[in-house]
Amino acid sequence: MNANRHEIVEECLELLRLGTSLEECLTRYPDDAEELEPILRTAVSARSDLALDLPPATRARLRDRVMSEWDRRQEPKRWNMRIPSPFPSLAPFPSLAPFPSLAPFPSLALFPRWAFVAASLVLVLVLGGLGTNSAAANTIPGDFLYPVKEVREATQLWFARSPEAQVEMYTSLVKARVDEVKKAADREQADLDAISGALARMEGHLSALNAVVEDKLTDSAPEEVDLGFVEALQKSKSEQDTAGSLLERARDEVPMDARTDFSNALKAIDSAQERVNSASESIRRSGSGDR
Amino acid sequence: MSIESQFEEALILSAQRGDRDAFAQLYEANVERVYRYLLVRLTEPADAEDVTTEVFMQAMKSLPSYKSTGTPLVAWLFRIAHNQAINFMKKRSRRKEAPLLETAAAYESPEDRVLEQVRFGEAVQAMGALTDFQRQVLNLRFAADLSIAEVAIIMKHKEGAVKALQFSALRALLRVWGQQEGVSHEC
Repeated sequence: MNANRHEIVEECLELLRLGTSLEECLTRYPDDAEELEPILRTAVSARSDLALDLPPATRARLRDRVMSEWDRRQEPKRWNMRIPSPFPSLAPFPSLAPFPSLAPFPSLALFPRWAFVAASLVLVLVLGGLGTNSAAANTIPGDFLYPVKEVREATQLWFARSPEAQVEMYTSLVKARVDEVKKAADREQADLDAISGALARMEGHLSALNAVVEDKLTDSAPEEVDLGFVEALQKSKSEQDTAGSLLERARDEVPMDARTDFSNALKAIDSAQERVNSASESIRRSGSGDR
Repeated sequence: MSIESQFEEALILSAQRGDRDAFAQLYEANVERVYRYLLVRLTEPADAEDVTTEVFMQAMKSLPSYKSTGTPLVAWLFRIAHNQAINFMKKRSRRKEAPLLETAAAYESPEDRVLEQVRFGEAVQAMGALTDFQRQVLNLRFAADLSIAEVAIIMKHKEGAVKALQFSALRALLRVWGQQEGVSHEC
């Protein structure tokens, strides 16, 4: 093969990419064909073996995670007030983030968030008075009354204004999602959609929890962090340990198809714990946690 | 500047001003190749998924300070991906590994996908015998499907050097596959 063989290989690769057959490429370089052929076949195999498609479910999950982070970052600019978003699945309608059940109605996105919070308060009070609220407490994703539970949680979250209250709230939401997973897995035939929904929401809570910790440590130096926040972190870590163990047990009871969701949720717990550990460690080193 | 570059620059400017759709378009244009690149480096789909998320979160965070000085966005993204992959691999040894069956379950039609997964595993294993640069060039060219020009920017090499590296990488891979076949025939 001549001195510019790497150029010839690249030219052939480009032709192959455009749909030319390997044989046709080789006829263009008859003197080098014998040496070129195995190299080009190797390239074709490498391309087909290495370029695995992104599975649609993974694509959807990735987009959901990334775009909900975008929405979370844009929120303070939009309303000039900070309300953490626990429901990343509402990416297209950021102003409705705490209310997943309203997502199919884009026109409602015209209303500011506080209006929904006020409306949800009224709704919770009215429904609570009717006993619906307590009935909703035992629901799992997909149940008729589940949106009531979502609204109640969003309202509670809205009232959790301090970082420690937010850490506690997100931790209790994680616990609630684990309960839902257990309930869905314990049904006569495991409700895989409900499990998947609960686990996806749990990942959202953990990511929001990470963001609260991140923001707290950005806003205050480790030595300025108050004891209440340190205690909330420690409690969260222990609750996350329990949640991880319960999920590992529940994972063994569901069919193989549902286990990837568990794997992702367990990784989200690992990552949140890592964040909490590193925050606790930097606070501890500064001496703040000993006060 | 090409029409594509101008379009990309307009999207970047819009995303920097907070335009969600612009960021979503930039994301869609690049997510598949970033994921494929990370899958070759990390081999576990769930890990590639996590790190792909991290790459775009980091990109989102750094976007306001991104300045297009003729370098395509893809080069910037792949540098982030490279750094995130290294950070992730450092941490991975401390974590529990997912069983192989779970990895296979990430795909929809088990039989075809498991076969693909096996071929993918063999190709990645064979690439283990190559140099870092050779692995990098095969990953960027064949998994991420980037052009020679894009790879040259990412690897900070001249285009001619990338072509030469690609050639030597393919020859090395051919040699490894040849040896593996020889071994399997002997067995």
